[in-house]
Parts: sequence; C-alpha cells; structure tokens
Amino acid sequence: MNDGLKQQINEIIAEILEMNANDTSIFDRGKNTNWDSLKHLEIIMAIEEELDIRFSSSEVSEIMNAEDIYNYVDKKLNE
Amino acid sequence: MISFSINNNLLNADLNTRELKKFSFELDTLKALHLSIERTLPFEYVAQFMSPFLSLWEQDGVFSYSEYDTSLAQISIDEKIDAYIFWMDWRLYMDRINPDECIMWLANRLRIAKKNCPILVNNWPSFWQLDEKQYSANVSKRSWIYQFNAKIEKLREEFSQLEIIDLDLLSSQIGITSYDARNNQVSNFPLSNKLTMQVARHISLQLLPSMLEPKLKAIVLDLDYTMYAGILGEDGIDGILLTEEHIQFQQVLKNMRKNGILLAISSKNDKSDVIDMFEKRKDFPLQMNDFTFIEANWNSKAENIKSIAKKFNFDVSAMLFIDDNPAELMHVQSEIPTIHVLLADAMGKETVHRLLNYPRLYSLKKDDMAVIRQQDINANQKRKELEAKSADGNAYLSSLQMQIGIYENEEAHKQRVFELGQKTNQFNLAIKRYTKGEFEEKFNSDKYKIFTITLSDILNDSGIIGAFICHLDGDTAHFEEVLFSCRALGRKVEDAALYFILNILDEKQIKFVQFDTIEGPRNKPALDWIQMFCKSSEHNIQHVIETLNEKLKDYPAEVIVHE
Repeated sequence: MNDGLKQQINEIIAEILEMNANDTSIFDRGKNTNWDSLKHLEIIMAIEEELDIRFSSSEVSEIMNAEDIYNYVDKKLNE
Repeated sequence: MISFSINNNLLNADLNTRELKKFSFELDTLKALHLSIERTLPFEYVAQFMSPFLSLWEQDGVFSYSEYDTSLAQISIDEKIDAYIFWMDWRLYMDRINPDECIMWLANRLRIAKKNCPILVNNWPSFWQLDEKQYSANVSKRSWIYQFNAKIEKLREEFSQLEIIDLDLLSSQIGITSYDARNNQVSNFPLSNKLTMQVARHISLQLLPSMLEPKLKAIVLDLDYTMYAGILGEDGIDGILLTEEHIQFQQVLKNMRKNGILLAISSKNDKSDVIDMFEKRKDFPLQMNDFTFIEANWNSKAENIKSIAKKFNFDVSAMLFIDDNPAELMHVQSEIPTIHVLLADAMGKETVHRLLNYPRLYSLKKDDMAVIRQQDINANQKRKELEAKSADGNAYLSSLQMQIGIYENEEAHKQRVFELGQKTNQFNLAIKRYTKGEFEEKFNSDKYKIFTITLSDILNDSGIIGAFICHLDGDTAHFEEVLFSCRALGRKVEDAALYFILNILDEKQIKFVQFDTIEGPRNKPALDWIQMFCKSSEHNIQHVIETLNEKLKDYPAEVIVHE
C-alpha cells in the first residue's frame, strides 16, 4: 500500500478517535480504550465510504488495528 | 444567517458523512435546542449527523440520553426539554406483546412525558426480516410490524403533539442497503450509514422545524436557469429547455402551492415575454395562474421582492427566494437580511433536493386554508382598487358588504386557530406560540373562552381570520393572546370583533379586562392597535367598550354572534 493511502486511512482513524494522525502506535483496539465497538464501526464505515469498498461482517470483527485495515483495503482495492 | 454556499451543500441529495461531521458552526445566533432521547436503540449515530442540519435553522442540538431500558421507567420531565425523541428498537417487543398491548404501553409512557412538549417516535421497517420472506405476512413478524405501524399513526389522534419518524418509508426509499447486519451485530443498531443520515435529515430539517417553528409562507422564483435551462430573452420560448429535473422541481412547487405555500416570480425579463412563455409552454407543470404575483422587469430583484412582500402583506422573513445566480442571492440577502435564499442548480439536478430539505417547508398536515388564502390575496388587490375609487373610508368598507362571524369555543375551528397562532407574525399581541397540546388544554378548559372570528365580503369568503384566547378569572377577562391574519387587516374587523366580544363578556358579569403584550420583532401593528384602547395593564370593561363604540360609529358590517 502506498504511503498516501496509509496516511488517508490514518487521518480517518485519528479523526474518529480524536487523536493525532501521527500517533499510529496506538491505532490498536487492544492498546486504545477510545477505540470501542461504536468507534470501530464508525471507522469501518468512514473508510468504506471514502474508498468505495465494503467489509464483510467477519472482516469487521477480525480487524484489530490499523495494520489489519491496511491489509484488507489493499486486498480489496486489488481484487 | 448562515451563508447559502454552506447551506446548499448540506441540502444536496448525496452527502459524504465524513464531510458532514466536519461542518461546525460557532455562531452566536445558534439557540440551544434541548432534546431528550428516551431509547432502547443507540441514538448517538443519528445525533452525530444532526448538528450541521440543525444549524441551518439556527439551532444547536443539546442531547440528553436515557439508559437502555425496555420498560422506559425513567422518562425525563426536565423543564428545559424542547422536544422528546423516543428512539425504539421495536424488535425487543415483537415476541413479548401483541401490537395492541405495545401501543397501550407506549401511550402510557407518552403520558408521563412533559406535558404539551413535542414528541417524535419511530415506527419500524416492515421488510428487513429477509429470512421471513418465505412466509406470508400473517404468519411472520411482518404482520406485527404492519399492525403496529398503522396503530402508532393512530396514536396521533390522542397525542396532538406526536409525530412519527417513518423508518418504514425512509428505509423503503433506500432499499435493502438501509439495513446493516454488521452494525446490528456490534451495537444492535441495524440502520446503515445511509439510512442513519436520512433519519438525521428528516428529524432535523423536516419534523423538528415544522413542529417548533412557523412554516414559510411564500417562495419567490427566478426564471432563467432556475425554472428551466436557458435564457428566455436569448433562446426564445421554444429554445428554453425543460429537463426532467426541472419538471420534478416544478411539480414539487406545484404540490407545495396546493398545500398553502404561495408562489411568485421575480425575474429580469420583459413581462410580455414571460406571459407569452406561459401561454405557449403548456408542457410546464407550473402555469401562470399558479403564481400570485409576477414581477418581470429590469428592476433589482431585491426591489421586486420587497414589492411582492408588500402585496402579500407579510414579512420577508416568511419568504424563500430561489435563484441560480449567487451574485443575485448575495445582493438580495444584503438588501433584505431576513429573507431565506436558496441557490438553484442551473441544470436542475440538486434544486429539488435542496427545496425538499429546506427547513420550515415540510407539511405535517393538509392545509385546508390554502385555496381561501390564495383567493383572499387576489381579492385584496381588488379591495385596494375599490378603496382608491371610494370617496371615504366608510364608503369603501360599505362597498365590501362585509359579514363578520363571532364564535365561542367552536370545536371545528380548533386546528385553524392553532395554525394561526403558529403563523401570525404581525398581529399577535403576546407571541405565545402555544404547542398543540397547550392549545388543546385551553380549548377544553372551562376557564377559557376561545373566540374565533370569520370574515366574508363580496370579493371572497376569508374563513377564520382571527382569534381571542381569553382566560376568565373571577370578574376579570385576561386576554392571553389576540391573533389576526394579515390578510384581514385594514377593515377594522379587529375593532368590531373586540367590541362584540367585550359585550358578550360584559353580559357574563366581567368587569375588568387585561391584555398580555410582548414586543416582538414584527408585531408592532398589534401593539399599536391595543394602545388605542388600553394604555395600562388593567381596564374597566365599560371604558373599553365606549372607546370602541366611538371608533366604530357607522361601521358598515353585519356582525353575527354564534353562541
């Protein structure tokens, strides 16, 4: 995935979690108490809308951090 | 006032939800709107989209949330609450109780809510249960939903301050993508983002403004690239193009007109060209007689709009001006700061959505007075001609052959008086704007007399044009509000009505009268009027009757008191 797209995803996550987009080390559901189930869905939906892709229910539950999102997005954009 | 460029983006059909959330307004003019959310379904998703929409009518949503409690045991009755939103997951009730029991239970809960406060309750989509598609409605949950949705509509008969958030309709407009299984799994919130935004828009731009604010009264339209594509003066009558989108736009306007919104044209064109256009272009859904006034000339549009407002006899703040040219809109807004403006999309694509989403245009019920109001405004032009020809004021009034009716607590007039209270801006003494519930209560109370005034003359039957809301307290009649439609002013009807009402009260042993007054932005005509009879707060009824009697000497109208 190119850096521009990663940055775009980071900005979406940061915006919803109300954090700095450079704090990527805590873009992780296990380390960040802000990233609750409601915020999780908000992040997923914002990315879907922005990149015109769709995650399945199982993918939504499997995503645990920003890295997982990059991987799924990469896969979907190259399908 | 928020600039129309922001305004238009928010009213467009498709909105990016992320962009929407970024809109923020820090305007001093925003008023706090306290919304109490009583819920068994998360509302935060809807609320996050509501603030930008609410700001379009200068409101700042302040949300307070109940616990998730299926019994709704703790309904807030905080003084500050402006409106309730009952946001219910009706799936939690389907397997436990039948639709009748559920409605009875809901009605009991609604009775606990703060008295007379507007309430919104959602119904439920009937087609979400895809796994039930193999069953007919009577053996599936659809049957429960069908019955429940019909019965919740009927609850409005008992709760006049209740409106339904029609999830069934909104979801059917979007289709099966209105449901999001993932949302449902994670947070028991089954609405997709698209439906969530539609719900936020419906509540913020349509339901709440129409329940809490007076409806706009007139729309003034530009012609070229607003009503059609092209320039009449250059492309000619046959060259201007009526696109599918413009047809839709004109049809929406025609429907709005049928339901009480008056239409007018302000256009920089030769009037004869405009008249020819309407005569030849019969394919236009809107025809010349749909417009109360047509100002087609080379004056500034602001000037034309001021002249139209004068002829309508209501304030420009009750008018919306639609034009495709931002410079024209800016000029009109600078000349007339209180007017509402909307940018038309030259090819018509977005204009219809912007119009449908514009606050204070949504109708909660059919406006039965629409035709009468339209006729009365036309008749007022003829009355002005008669007045100019008459030798003196009384000769003019005499030529009208007026008949004034006075009614006491007339049940059939209730809805109209309520609407009058919501709409009147110039002739309302105390600007009370009662909610429907408050008004019902007064109408049904022994302590109140609600007098309604009807008017007809040789030119038109104007129907109910005024009301006096009077609280009887011992030997004092306390007028909490006096309302008159601006269409009826200038014929001393308000003087005659008050004179006869005071005589009725005098017979009921009333000795003193009081009038509540509040100075508002536009009610000077009403305040000046009451000053003529009552200079202090409490008056001997006989003195006021005598003053009125003197003023009404030789008043040439037939007054019928219906008791």
